[in-house]
Amino acid sequence: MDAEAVFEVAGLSFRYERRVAASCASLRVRQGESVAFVGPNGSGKTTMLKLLNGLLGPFDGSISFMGRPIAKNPELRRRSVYVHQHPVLFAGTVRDNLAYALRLKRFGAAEAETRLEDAAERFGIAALLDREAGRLSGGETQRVAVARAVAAGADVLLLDEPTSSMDAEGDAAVRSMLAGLRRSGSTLVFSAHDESLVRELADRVIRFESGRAIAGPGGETE
Amino acid sequence: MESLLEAVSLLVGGDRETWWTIATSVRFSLWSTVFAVIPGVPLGAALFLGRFKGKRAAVALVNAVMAVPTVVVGLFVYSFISRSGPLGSLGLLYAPGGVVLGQALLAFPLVASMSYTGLQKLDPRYGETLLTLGAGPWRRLAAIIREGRYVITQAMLAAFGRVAGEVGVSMMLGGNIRWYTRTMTTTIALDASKGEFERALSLGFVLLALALLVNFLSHLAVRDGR
Repeated sequence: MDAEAVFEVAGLSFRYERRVAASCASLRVRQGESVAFVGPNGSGKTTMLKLLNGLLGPFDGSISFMGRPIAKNPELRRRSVYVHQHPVLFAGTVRDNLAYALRLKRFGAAEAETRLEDAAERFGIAALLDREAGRLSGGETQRVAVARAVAAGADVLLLDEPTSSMDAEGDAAVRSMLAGLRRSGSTLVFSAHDESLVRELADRVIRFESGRAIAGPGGETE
Repeated sequence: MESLLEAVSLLVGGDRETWWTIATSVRFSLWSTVFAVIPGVPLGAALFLGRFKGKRAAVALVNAVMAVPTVVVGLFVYSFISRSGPLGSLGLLYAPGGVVLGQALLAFPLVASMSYTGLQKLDPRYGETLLTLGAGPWRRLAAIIREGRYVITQAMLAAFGRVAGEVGVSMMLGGNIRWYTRTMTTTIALDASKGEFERALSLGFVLLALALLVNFLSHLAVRDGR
């Protein structure tokens, strides 16, 4: 077992309605790495991201997070968050959303406030804090969703098409945010169609076809 | 025609027994709806959120129980609350408590099933977001119920309509005792069997109005939910 591995996948096969929706013989994602999942629509990228985050199951094979199986692994929920292609923000303001995530992680009032303000500053959403979450643009929503996750302590982010369907301004802001996360040592696993985003951000590329993780350009999934 | 006019005059003229019967029916229905909702909504939400083997069978069971005839539910409860039954000492038989208990059991699977079905229409990303952010099962349950409040309101209204219009449970467990457990439906059944249609018709109008009101409120709940 690799001590630096955040995720380790072995012999994974997940079926949905009798069809193999995602499978992967072997995959290892290391601490601080940025890994891109690429492939056509319906090839299993989103399913694999959700499986890594324990949002789907049951499955055959094994997925470990920080050396322990993801089932009932408290570290998984403490440190890793999956962000949808079109993230869901809860009713209320942006501040309410960050505060709710911090309450879920049981931070004390003073620490929660500090974390909230720090995240708002870091992700450039301070001006949005008192805006209604439902009225944000796609780029703003994506940044708030990531800020919410990071404020609550996540350093392993699973991002589904983080820049899709975004205007140029939103796209640039999200790219900049992701580059910042990568520099700060966060582990990123993301799916993308956008080749320039993959080139900018990914240390490694895993290709998906018909539900199967095939390999990176060098033939590796490790 | 004469019966119709007499029926209207019972309502408009404020006939004490007619209005007492209406109030009793509404009171029983409200309480039984409350007692059905307390376990029914969390069960529906838990079925929606849960990922466990046998989930389909559990949902099918809840749906199947929903179709059990009212007299069968009445008979089942009767066996528990009759004097020789395990709950006989509570004195629920032929008392308001017995009617409310039976009606609550009748409405419970309806509330659970409608909550489950309604919540399935919610955006699945909502539950996933709660889970990925680390919300525990109770928090997710509470958040899902809050988010699905419109479909749950619909389930509650449907349950109220179901128990307000049922006759089997009220008759078997309440005994149709005047000024005590007599409800609109049991009065209608009794008066119609005696060939006295005036009060039966007046209560029929009220039941019809109640059904229309429930449908209207349900429609509003759906509209607001959108």
